[in-house]
Amino acid sequence: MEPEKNNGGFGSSFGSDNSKPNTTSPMPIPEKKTTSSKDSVLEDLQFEVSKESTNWPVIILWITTAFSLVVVGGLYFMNRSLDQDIAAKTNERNDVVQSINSSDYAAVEKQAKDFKLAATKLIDANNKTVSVGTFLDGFYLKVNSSIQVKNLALASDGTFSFDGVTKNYRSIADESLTLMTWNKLSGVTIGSVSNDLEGKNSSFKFTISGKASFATGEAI
Amino acid sequence: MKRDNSYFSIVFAVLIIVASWAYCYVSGFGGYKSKAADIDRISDEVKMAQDKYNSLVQTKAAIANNKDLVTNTLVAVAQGSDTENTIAEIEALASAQKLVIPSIQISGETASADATASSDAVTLGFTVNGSFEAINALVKSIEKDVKFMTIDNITMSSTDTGMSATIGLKTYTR
Repeated sequence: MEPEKNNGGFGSSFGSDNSKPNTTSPMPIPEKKTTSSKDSVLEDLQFEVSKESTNWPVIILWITTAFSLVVVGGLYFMNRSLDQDIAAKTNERNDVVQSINSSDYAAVEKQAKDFKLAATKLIDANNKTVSVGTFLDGFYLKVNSSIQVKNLALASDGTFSFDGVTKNYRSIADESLTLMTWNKLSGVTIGSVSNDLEGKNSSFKFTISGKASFATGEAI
Repeated sequence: MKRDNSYFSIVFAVLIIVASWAYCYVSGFGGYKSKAADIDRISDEVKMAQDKYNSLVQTKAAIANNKDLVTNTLVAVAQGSDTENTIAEIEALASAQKLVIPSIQISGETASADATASSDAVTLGFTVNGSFEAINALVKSIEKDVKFMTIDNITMSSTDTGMSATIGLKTYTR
């Protein structure tokens, strides 16, 4: 039996009309199958259909398989590359952390923290406190010669008061005016004045209070 | 026989595809995303560590360049209450002005708002007798001492022999 010519299409043998005479080709018309049984024709057709239908799906399947393998391979190598990157970065981090935790830099860090804490306290306390030494220097100059200081009190917020004794009211007024002209003081007021008679001499007791505001090292 | 081979190859190919996509789904894509996130996290940690290291290097150089300032500041604000050294320091300052301190009262330690510090300050009080100049000199030497002390309050009274001063001061600790 002469094999049927494959004209290139899936199941194309079903659509071809071999009974028509070929007018353009001089080839002889193949002999009509008269001896084949019905089963053998079906077998041939199955064979043809099978041959035609397994080619493309299998090829596509294998292409898909190959593509899948390529994707898996690519992912595998990308993951491996990331693993190497992670290992490198982790080593880099561990090296830096080890350097930071070395005794040398641990001491530097502690010293820096201590210095910052100490400096903060120094600045804070210094800003809140009046320089007593500077106040006393200025106060000594501002007490008139007719005044005898009995008590002097000064608090860290600058509040001061002093009790004095003098010979007349005029001296008390002058002392108060002298302190008022000192630009480092504010709220200078005479609190109390009393004439204390002792024998022939009379003395005048008084209290003056106010608030001083200047820092350490500041000019009087 | 040929048909059996075809079936086998098809099943094999399908298995490969299923296994491939299972790998991709389970560990391929998921693992890649997770590892990429890990790299970002570790990179951030490296950057932070590097920044801290650079900061420490600069701090070390700054401390070396300002060694006296750092040392004096750490002496001025001592670690802990350091009451013993404070008492000795005050006695030395008073002796330098020929003043005698009969007694010193330690009022106590002020708790600090900062939990890392053991205390904030120690308050002390004492009385001295002498001339105005000597007391004034003592006050100034306290305020200029290497150990940082601030005078909280001072009360001066005139006496028959000169002046008496009651001084309350505060030393700072870290």
